[in-house]
Amino acid sequence: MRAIGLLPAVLASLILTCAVHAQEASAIVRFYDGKFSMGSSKTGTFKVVAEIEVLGESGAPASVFVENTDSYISLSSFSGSVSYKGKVLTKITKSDLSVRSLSSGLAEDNLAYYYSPSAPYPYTVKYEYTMSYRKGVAFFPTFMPVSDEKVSIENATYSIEVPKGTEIQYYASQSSPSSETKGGTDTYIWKVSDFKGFVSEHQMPSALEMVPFVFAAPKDFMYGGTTGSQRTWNDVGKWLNSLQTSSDDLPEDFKATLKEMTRDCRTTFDKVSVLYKFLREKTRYVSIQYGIGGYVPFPASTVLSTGFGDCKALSNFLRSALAAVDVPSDYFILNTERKESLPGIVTFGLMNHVMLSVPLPERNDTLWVECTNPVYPLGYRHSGVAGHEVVLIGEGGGQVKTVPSYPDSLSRQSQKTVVTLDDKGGASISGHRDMYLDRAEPYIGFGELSTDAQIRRLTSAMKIHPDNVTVTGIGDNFGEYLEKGKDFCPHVWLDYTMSTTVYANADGSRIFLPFNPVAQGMTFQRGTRVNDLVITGGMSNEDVVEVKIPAGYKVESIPEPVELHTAWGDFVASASQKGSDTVLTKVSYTFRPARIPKENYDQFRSFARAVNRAFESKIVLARE
Amino acid sequence: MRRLTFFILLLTCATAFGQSISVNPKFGDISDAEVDMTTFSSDTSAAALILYSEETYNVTFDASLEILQTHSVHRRIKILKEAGRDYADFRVLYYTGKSLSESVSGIKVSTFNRDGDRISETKMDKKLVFTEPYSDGVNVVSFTAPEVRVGSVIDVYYEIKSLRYYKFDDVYLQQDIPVNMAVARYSMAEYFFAKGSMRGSYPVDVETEETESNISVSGRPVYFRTKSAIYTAKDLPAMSSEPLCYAPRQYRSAISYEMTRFVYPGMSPVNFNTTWSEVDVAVRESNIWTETRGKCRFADEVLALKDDGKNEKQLIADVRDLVLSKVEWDGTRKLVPRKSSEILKSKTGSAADINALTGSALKELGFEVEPLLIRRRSSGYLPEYLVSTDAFDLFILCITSPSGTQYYLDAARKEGYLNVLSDDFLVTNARLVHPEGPVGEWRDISELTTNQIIVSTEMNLGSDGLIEGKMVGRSYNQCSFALKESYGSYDSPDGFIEEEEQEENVEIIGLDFEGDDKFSAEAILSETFERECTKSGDMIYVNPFATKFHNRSSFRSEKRQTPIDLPYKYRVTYQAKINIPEGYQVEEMPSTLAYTCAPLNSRVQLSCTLSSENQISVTFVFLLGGRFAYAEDYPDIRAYWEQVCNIYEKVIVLKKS
Repeated sequence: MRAIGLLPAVLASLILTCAVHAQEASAIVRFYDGKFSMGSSKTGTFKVVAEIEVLGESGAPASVFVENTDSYISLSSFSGSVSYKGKVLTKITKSDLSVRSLSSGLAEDNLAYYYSPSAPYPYTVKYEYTMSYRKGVAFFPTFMPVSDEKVSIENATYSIEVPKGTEIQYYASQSSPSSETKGGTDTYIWKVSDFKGFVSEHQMPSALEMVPFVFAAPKDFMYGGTTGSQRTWNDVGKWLNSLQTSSDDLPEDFKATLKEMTRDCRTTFDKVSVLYKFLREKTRYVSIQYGIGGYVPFPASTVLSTGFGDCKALSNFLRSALAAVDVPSDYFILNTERKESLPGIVTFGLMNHVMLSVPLPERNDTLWVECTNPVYPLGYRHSGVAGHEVVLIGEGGGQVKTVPSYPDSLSRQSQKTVVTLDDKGGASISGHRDMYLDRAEPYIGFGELSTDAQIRRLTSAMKIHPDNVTVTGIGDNFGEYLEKGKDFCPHVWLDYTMSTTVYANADGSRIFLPFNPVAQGMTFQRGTRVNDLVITGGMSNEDVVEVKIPAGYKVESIPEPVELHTAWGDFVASASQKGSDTVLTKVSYTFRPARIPKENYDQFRSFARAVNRAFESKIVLARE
Repeated sequence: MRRLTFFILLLTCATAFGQSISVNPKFGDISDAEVDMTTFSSDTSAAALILYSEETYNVTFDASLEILQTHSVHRRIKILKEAGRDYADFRVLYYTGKSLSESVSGIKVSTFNRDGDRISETKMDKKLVFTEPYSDGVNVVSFTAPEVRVGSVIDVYYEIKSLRYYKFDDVYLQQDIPVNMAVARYSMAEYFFAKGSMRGSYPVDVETEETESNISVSGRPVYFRTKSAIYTAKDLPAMSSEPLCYAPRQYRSAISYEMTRFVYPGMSPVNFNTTWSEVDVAVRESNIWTETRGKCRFADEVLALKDDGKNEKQLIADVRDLVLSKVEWDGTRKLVPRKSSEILKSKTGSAADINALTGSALKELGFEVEPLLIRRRSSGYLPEYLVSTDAFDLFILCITSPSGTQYYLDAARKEGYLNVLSDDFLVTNARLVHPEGPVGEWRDISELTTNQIIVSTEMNLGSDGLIEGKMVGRSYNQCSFALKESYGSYDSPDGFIEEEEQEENVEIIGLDFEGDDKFSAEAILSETFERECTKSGDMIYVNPFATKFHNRSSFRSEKRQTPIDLPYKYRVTYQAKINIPEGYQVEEMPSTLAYTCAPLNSRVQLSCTLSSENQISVTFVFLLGGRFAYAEDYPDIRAYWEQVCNIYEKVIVLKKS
């Protein structure tokens, strides 16, 4: 599906906000005025005048000009300047702007106009430009005058002027806009002043909490020669459905082939399995987004003849194929990065992906099928869709559903490592790793990777120098949905062997064993926390390491056990001697979704330090 | 007519072995064996394989003697695993500027799959070819193969036509997936003179052939010979990027070509740079020369810096500061500066602009300034037989003081100093252009300074196992550059400290950094820290290293294909004094040890001694005397590196007496 219409690409990566003092700001938006004027349901203009002062190098990104265009939106005028100490150094015209494709897929009609100013600090840039909308206005430009950290706002205004009586909807960071009616227009105005800026920190709340923004859209719209309504998701569904009337056009002979392929299938699930396998073997993901094609899937016949498509096309193709064998399914839209819809606004521009929902009446269940990556096991709701609000698109319109999520306790990984140590600190190692639910996702398709890529993925978190790494076994339970039904949780396991000359440090008459060489510690920040800490998803890990110590050595020192319990996480680590020749270490940790107030960040820091100290501790063996 | 001469350097022996799979190079002529193969025996983990690759450069002229270069590419790819399907997408970049205009045409893509007893062919619909702007003056043509599955064979062909008939991009025979057979062909009418070279460590077959050709000029036929040089390589393994290698592509098997002359009867010869002297002359006629050595527009301010009390280094530093007070570096690197009036007006400039202004300012004070052209290490080694002005990426200044001392300066970089440059610039063959006498000469600037880090640490160990320590580290020359660059990469000191804490497993109580805002060859980092030692019963286990200088991850991989390129030679001296608590004595201490590594010309040594009843002295010295090592030496280097990193794990055992 075309990338999110209302949200700038940068928002997807923004996860942090909070206020800083004005004197810490690296740039200041002195003035921003964005005015959208809707001439008709087909046309509009967005005029922007902005002035940004850049105080230092870290503030430079805030002064970069970037605007996206496509076959509906163009940059119709532009002028700008760069000043230093009140003197204009550079005048910028439209011909000074770079134009480049932002295509993340094979091809898109999105082009970016771009200018990066340069001058001694502090410098001021002014931009004045107009974006022209034609062939329809389905959503108004996003208002987000800052998207970089440590950028403050003195004054910013956003207004939407529409023909009188045109109903709009919006979701904004601040209270309702003021509005006025003058002549034949209604105008809605939002003002922001004295915004101090935000600071980036790890594991922070969503940017939408504190960055000033407005997402807005007309309730009724025209777009690409079509008309539609966004008053409800049902309306959105009707419009999207109307674009797909000619999408289900598989040739009859192919339909007959599908019927033959599924002739022996006795259940709906069996049919879906056969066609899902066909999808995996015969198609692949390629993204091509042009014009209204950004919202319309390629016809199923095109996917059949080319063997590729984007998420819309592949989902439509599978839907058509299932329909040919009398299995109904629903094409649905979703946002993979946000679970819940934004209140107060309904627009397809907020969605970024398409999948297929297939009811299984015989199992009282529904399959939520990822058609762009058919290596995921059927019956699994991956991390981009589990727990998300989605909109099923059908002839009756759009229907909002929530995809069932999984309990956090299922997201886990465990490792059992057996080490045979020699008296020089080297070791031969055999390991077994189990990964469940979303922890299994990076390992789906592991067997298809090159040997080098497998080794890198397997050993990336290890602190030892691995030699002779051999994956001796890979397995999964992907066929267990039939047995487990709704309780199905994907599980991938790996067995491997390796050796290393540097497992432990052998020095003189002692050997110093690492406590847990197969895992890494926690990240934390030492400075004063500015924002709350957010742990979004629960997970757990368990590592057991069994070390057979060399003959002639005894255990001289074992670290004390560590046990930490908080509202949001538990950590337990212990080491013990098992018999005379084996040392056993066990580490388990669990995190629960939580929001830790910034005032309590010290507790998180102390927790992380204690975890890291435990991981760095050593078991000491001494020669007998 | 003059005989065409191909001057081929580094001629290699005939092929040592044949390709694994026999292919017919004709487009679309796919064999059962190609379609039915499921794995590539020489590399069973390969996700895809290039069965055949042919790139041809054909330089011709038409009836009006307009010269055109056609670069055609034919590639046949076998998809062996699902991950290999990514090789079915193609993007072709081409220039759109007026003088450099190129066009892409003749695109053909077909996918071949096993379909029962026959091989089916699916052709790409030409409507699925997309053209978009890529960057300034460059467009991209994108297209993808249809019906691609595991097992598919894709044949793709396209042409790029260019008016830049004298320029040839390198043809890479070796890729990041295995190559069964690769061919590079250069065909030109006998009026064109060119020279080529090969690189890489796999044998390449070379053949030449001649054919008769003709065109009609003013209604009369003109006959000439077309001469072709054909390079063929077979069974090339995949070569990917590896760490500690500045330009991995330079080690792939590849062919480089350079046009030298075009001579047509009755016309003046068109010469391209054939000698470095000609390149030097071209530099002297460019802004590189005229702006660097031209009149300084702020001469009065420069002259005001003169002071009898200042030494020449101080004077150079002051001139640099003056230039940077007028012009901010915009972070870019260009080869040619703008006019000084333009630079000063805009108050911002590339590194070339800043170096040019600095050069012109220094000349006012009686310094001799010459531009030193550099091809960065990351751009690949510059073979001296490949003559071209395009060979260089940038220039810095070679300054000769009135006293005769010579310095090298890159004025834009705040981390640098005189003779202290980015490690990417430390090349063995930079080109110095003179104002008179021999126009230019090669300079080796790979080892301009002695680089070292000297760290002294004092640690007080408590009976509870807690160490309170203070460490002062002094970095000189290139080591200072690296430290300043690392420190400056963080938004705030906190970011730097967090990284240090997590790498060294310490809690840093205070940190002071001197040198990040000074133009100098030294940086000083001082830390006070706390660290917990392992304590068990009567024993305390103390690691004597407050910081580490080497990382195991540098040589983590078991195997290596490309040579190892290290930034610079350097020396580390670490000295620690550990005060042990009363009531404790040394139970065990690391013995004195020393290791060497001949391929790196490196050695390391450690000694721990009891300097008094309550104090242990630790001395660690590491010396790296080489910058380059061959891949064959990698196992020895890796083993040595492990020994070095093991030293950081050494433990002093104390026991309560």
